[in-house]
Amino acid sequence: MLRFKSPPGLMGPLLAALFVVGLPASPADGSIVQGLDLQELVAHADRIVLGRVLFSESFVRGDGQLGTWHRIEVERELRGQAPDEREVIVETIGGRMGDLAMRVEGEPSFSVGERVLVFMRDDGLYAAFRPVGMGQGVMRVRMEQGVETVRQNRDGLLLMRRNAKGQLERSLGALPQAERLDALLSKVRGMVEQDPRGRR
Amino acid sequence: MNRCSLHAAALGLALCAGLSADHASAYCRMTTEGGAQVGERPCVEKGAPLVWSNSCLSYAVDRRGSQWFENPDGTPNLAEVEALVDQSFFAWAEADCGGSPPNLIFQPLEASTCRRAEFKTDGNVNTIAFLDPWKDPCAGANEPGYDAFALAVTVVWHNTSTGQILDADMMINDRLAGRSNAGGPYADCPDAGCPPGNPGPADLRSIVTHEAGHFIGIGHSDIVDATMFASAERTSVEKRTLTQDDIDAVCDIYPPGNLDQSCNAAPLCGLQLNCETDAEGLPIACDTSPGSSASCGNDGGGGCSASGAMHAPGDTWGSLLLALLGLTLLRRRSARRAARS
Repeated sequence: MLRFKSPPGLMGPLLAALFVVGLPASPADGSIVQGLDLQELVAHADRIVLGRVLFSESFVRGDGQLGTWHRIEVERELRGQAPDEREVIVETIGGRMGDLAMRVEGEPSFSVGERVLVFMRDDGLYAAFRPVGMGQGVMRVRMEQGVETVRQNRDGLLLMRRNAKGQLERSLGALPQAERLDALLSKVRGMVEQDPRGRR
Repeated sequence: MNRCSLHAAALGLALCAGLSADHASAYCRMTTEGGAQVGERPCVEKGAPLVWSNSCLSYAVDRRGSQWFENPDGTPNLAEVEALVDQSFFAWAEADCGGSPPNLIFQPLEASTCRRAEFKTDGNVNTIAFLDPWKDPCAGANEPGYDAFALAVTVVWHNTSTGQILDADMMINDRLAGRSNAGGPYADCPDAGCPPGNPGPADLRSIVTHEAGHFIGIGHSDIVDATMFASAERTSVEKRTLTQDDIDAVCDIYPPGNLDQSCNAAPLCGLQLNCETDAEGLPIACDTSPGSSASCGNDGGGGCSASGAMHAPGDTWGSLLLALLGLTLLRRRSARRAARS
């Protein structure tokens, strides 16, 4: 059993003030996020790529938080940029620098070498893309029983959405279950073609 | 054994308990490693579980409140927001752990002036802020803010090796929800649920109660009815009420003990309710070097020194003053709450 009893009166702050702290610190988030179905993911994505993670590198953002840039080698472009652009940078909030780490629950994580399908948002003048709907915008490709399948990254996310009455209720997200990669790509291509914004 | 040694020993026990936890319960704990917590994969068991070493905690709602809670004259109704936030936090502190509450005390403070989710060495506040625009005020003009589809985010600063929580800040998206973004309106919905609308109001207590679970280090649960379930299976007000799985989580992490309302809830490194302007009203610069901010002159109620080094006398006296100020504010707010109830 844990017992934490503060000294009475002013002793606590008096004792406390005699010590200093040298702790490597990191933040983590638990995030409530509006669940997006596949059509909404497509609609809000400025760029959609299937690719492989080449490497990740953390840096200090202007707001003092840590961010990480992930360089992804583009294998297939479902919506997006010039065909000769073979790499894309995706930014996630949180990262590691020395003993300091900042983890944001709900933000997607990437492993070097893994294949991912990423739905990205272009924030205008900013140099990197951001995943749509935090972890919802990243789907991992895995080989399962000899078949390439895709799973949505929902780590640390509480997915909610308003129903027709405006009440918050459960959201299953875009990909409640694993799906075959080829079938999903075909579905996404179809949605992109039907979207008024098209492939751009 | 001094207080810090006791804390260190207790934290060690907590870490051991967390790492060897029986996962018969469905809830998961947040850990330093993060990653998958629910669904087809089990709880993350890598890294240290996140825990407050001193579970006598304070928080403050940003004084600008929420645009969705206003007085008849159009001024922010901070008192209503504070009351809803208090109810959400107290739901966890008043859980029934077999006849006793968990060893977890929340002491609400006077309103903060702080919309920054940061941990600093010269003073902190566990702030609860409503943001519109939905980004950290320190973020650059071209720098992306929090995700447009997020309703709320709780930033929990912690020690990466021990999992000790150092500071926690809850940010709530105060914009009007639209086709391309989440947000308000928010309300204190009746038990039958929020009234319909386009967009209809979301129940603020449900959101804050869930986020308060993260505030104390609880991850998501795969029990559908739980407040900490990873998606909102139930109607909008039901996450206000803790289920047995939520209660198991808070009671396991903070088992009944002997904390009482007189405990020291000052934040680590001292209390600083205003993180935006200094005593002279001048803006406090945004901290762009979090990596170098690993020492402070006062551990408040929240922890102990890892280095044992002493600060310069001037700093120590400053810290003493900060701690005394913190105690005064804590007691003033507690007295006000007591009078209100």
